[in-house]
Amino acid sequence: MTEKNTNYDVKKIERSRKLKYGSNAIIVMISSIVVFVMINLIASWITFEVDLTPEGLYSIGDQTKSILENLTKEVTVYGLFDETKIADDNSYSKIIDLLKKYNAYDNVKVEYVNPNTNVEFMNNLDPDNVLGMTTNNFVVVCGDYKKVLKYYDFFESYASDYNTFGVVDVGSKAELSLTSAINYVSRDERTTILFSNGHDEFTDDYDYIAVSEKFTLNGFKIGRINLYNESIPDEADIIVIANPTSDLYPEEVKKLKEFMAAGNSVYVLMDCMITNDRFTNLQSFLYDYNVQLGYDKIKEYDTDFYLEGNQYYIFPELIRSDVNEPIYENFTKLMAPNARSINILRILNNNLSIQPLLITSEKTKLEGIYDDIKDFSGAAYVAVAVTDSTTNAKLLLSGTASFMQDQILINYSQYDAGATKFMLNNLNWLEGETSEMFIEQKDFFVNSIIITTKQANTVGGFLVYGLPSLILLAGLIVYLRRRHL
Amino acid sequence: MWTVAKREIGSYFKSPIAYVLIGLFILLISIFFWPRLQGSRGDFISILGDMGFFLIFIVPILTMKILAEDRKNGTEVLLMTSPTSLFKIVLGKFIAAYTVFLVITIISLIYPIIIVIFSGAFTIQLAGGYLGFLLLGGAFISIGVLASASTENQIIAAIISFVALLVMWVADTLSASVGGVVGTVLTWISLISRYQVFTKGILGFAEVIYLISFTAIILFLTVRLIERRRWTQG
Repeated sequence: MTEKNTNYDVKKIERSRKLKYGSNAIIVMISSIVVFVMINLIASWITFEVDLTPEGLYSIGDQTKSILENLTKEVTVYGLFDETKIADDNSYSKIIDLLKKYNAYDNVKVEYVNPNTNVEFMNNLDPDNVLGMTTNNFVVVCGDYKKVLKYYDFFESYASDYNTFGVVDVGSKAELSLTSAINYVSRDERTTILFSNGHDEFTDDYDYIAVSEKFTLNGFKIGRINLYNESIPDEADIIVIANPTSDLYPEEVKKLKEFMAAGNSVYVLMDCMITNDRFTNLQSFLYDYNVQLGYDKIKEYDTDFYLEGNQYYIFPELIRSDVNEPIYENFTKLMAPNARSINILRILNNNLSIQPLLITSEKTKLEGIYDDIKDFSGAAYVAVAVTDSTTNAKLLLSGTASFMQDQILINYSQYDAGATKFMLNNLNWLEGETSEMFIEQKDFFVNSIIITTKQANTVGGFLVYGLPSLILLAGLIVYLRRRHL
Repeated sequence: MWTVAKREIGSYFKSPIAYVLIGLFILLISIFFWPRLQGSRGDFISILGDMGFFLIFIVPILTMKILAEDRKNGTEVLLMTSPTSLFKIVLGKFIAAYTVFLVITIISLIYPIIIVIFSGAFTIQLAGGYLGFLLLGGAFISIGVLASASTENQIIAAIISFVALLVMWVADTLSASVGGVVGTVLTWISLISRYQVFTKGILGFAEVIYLISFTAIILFLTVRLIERRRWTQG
């Protein structure tokens, strides 16, 4: 009986000891995990990071810091995607990391919104659907002003394979784009665009209503001016003359010349119009910039370059140039209805720099619209940009105005994106927005080596066959020596 | 602690296991490195990223015997009753496995050296990547040590640590597809996502602390696991 009791007591003690140490172990385990989590939560609050990349991909420069420090208004950067779904090797992860630097400033807020699950938010952000936002875009917002940034705004890319549409990013423009956008939406002084009227032109209240809304959302101030009986106000930066149905008066041309001499910009857009008016006054103004409107109507014969069923609704090709560079990659089609050619005059003027922006196919026919104008076959420019280095004046001449006309955008909404991108980029260039920023693009570091094929194969062969074999041989020797021990 | 470490290091290099693991690891890196040489590209940082993945296969074999063998041979009792504290014993064994890992890392420096010989650059980003690799190696080995302490069967220990490391890897991949709170948590716990911060060129305080504290906590839990066994099994 006594022995039985003793056994029972020992088992009881053992059980209680197991229970005690078992419970203790669980408590210690949980406590240590809690301590671990606490330590790491505290560490995550300390945002100490060193950017080790040769390009400084995750750093912001002095100009950005200065702009962010001096911000007086609150700017919010919305990333239109779920940032938790962005893998580390995704290009956007670089932008997310860079934006953490922006977020550290008092007046900058960075938020990520999944557009697929926040439809109402998206509708509030862009009720009229004029910003052209899509998933994976960023929108920089300050009060009523908004600017959309897309992938091509962040990365310099080139098509690595035209068959597979493979694209390789070769540099980052993220800091330039983000800082420019923040500066743009938050600034007090805005570029003023005046639509000329008095010749039945397209203006912000007639045929260019939608495009004017896009201008406003992109930070431009919009107005109208009758050049004949009004003087050009000092705050005007760009005058848009869109599809006048009659020629300008000499007084208007004089005002335009004075306006340009002061270093401002003019954007002339003209469809082909069957009229007896040859716009000689307007042509005389353009002549000073070595460009002329062609007296023709463009008819395309290359099926890839016109709208099915209408050879006058053409798809001119974007020409790679400084002006077009920001939009060149991933550019969609731009449809130019009833366009005319733009001629570049061969008059020597070292002060003028002319960049063609749009070109037709080689199979184009330019149909003369006057009896004395002969038809011409071959590629033709549809838009050009001119810079006068003496005055810094800029002229943009487009042989198409209808590409942004309200009715065209409604009927052919699939070409809205290309047209908007082209038009806004032109205005940004005229305004010189990016030139205000001296933030350089960060080209991705390429660690190139100088090695011949023979050297590469010799070294590579040694590394693949020689080195592992040597190590395994050492292991074999050790094994053979010690196998009997 | 150092006595235990020295003895374990000796046992690694007196058997073919360390040589086989090092040889295999170097072979894998070389296979990835050769095409870069042929393309005159010296971007070793991307291979360094892949090296983290190779560790998933190397570490379980490296650590499988480290504590399981003692338990199977019955020498665990001797260790537990020795004057050296259990923590020092576990740490000594960790240091031994880590030394083999260090040898692998040092040999892998041959690739950046080749890049420099052929006019490439050894960037500070690569140095940061190597720091991350060293910290990741520590964390992985600590998981292997814990797995080895949990069983007396070496194969089972290797499988446990392999699965644990694979889960860590999948957690990172999964986080991007799951998203939301779950995705954030998965990213937060993932050793790989922490390591990738180094390889993409950021030296982050939070990442350094995470990897070090992770290693420490796992080693601590290993000690507790053995201690618990001592008391519960008698």
